[in-house]
Amino acid sequence: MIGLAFALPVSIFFNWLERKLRARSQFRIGPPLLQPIYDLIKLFGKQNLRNIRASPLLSFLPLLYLVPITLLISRLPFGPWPGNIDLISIFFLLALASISSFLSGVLSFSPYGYFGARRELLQLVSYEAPLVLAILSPAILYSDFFLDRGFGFSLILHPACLVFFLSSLAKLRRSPFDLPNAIQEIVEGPFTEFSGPALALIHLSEWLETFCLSSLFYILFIGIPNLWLHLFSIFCFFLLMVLIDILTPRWKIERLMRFFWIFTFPLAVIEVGICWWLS
Amino acid sequence: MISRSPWLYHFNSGGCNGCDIELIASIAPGFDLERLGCVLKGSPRHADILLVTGCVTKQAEKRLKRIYSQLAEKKIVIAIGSCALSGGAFRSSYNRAGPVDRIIPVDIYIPGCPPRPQAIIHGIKTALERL
Repeated sequence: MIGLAFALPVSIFFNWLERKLRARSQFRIGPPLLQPIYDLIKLFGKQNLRNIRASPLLSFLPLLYLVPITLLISRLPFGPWPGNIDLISIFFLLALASISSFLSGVLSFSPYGYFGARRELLQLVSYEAPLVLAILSPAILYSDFFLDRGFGFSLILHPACLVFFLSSLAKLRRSPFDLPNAIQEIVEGPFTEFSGPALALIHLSEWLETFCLSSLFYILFIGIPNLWLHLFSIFCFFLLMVLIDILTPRWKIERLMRFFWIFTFPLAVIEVGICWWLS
Repeated sequence: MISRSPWLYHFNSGGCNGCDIELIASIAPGFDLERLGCVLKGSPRHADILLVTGCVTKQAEKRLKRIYSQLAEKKIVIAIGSCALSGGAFRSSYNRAGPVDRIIPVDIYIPGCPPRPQAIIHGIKTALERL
């Protein structure tokens, strides 16, 4: 539960930092420090429009995004505090978050949402296998599937770090893998039809998902039970991700799939093989 | 809280593109509307402020009404440029459905052909102060 208490302020701060960095990189000044909080309060106070043609299930889908992520953060080990989760639940909860964004695209009955959902699914097919294998490799190396504390640091796991980072870029819909919500092409993809409180919940879950994956990176590959080291590592992960996001243009879906299936997936398989052999 | 984080949606209802260029200039690095929390959004459902440029053509009239109905409450409408205010150069055109305020209620008018980015920023700021 302590992880969740840190996650909310840190992810709100990170959102501001990302917008500020993006603004500074374009020689703009950027938004004030409390901007993400203003945005959230405003969205919670607005009307929740509903498309008549869209499915009534649509109003619950932001919760299907938010609940798995908060559950995951509250159960993961954080700094010196132990966690209480096994790897199977992590795979399940992470996949549930992606499935919910796919479903919200399909059920919103909008062409932008439909295209966003298709791209989301194609992207899911590409990054999910390498992500799962990258999470599995430290577990196989240390023969432990239960995360009550972080795994140790090992040189053998560096390829798994790389695979995890690339897959989480795709999972968080960051450029160059931001196809599902490519603003210039398909508005906001699966989230085009949401407004007001539902949109606020979606934004909140996106920010928390970023925190969750960067925290998971520390737990799996560095794992020293120290609060400040944990926060610093999350910060570095986020900074690298945002810099790549700012600097790279969007890839086409064929190139993305080729990259993940020809480069990342074999690398992850070899990594799991080496870990299994060493254990 | 809208006054702290107004999200914009831009609709060109059939103008010459001059006002649109000035509007983009007010968001781009020189003036940077994001300092006021403004973000240009692609979907009217996410937006708080509808920015309308151009004289409304007969074809755009229905779309303008639909877009206005897709903005979540509370919403503000800002008409930008002479065409949106009165018809401007297209006043006597055969396919003009009228100025913006004949079709949807308008809160703020920004005159000019095209208005300067400073004028657009002043208009948005005035709209936010009146909330």
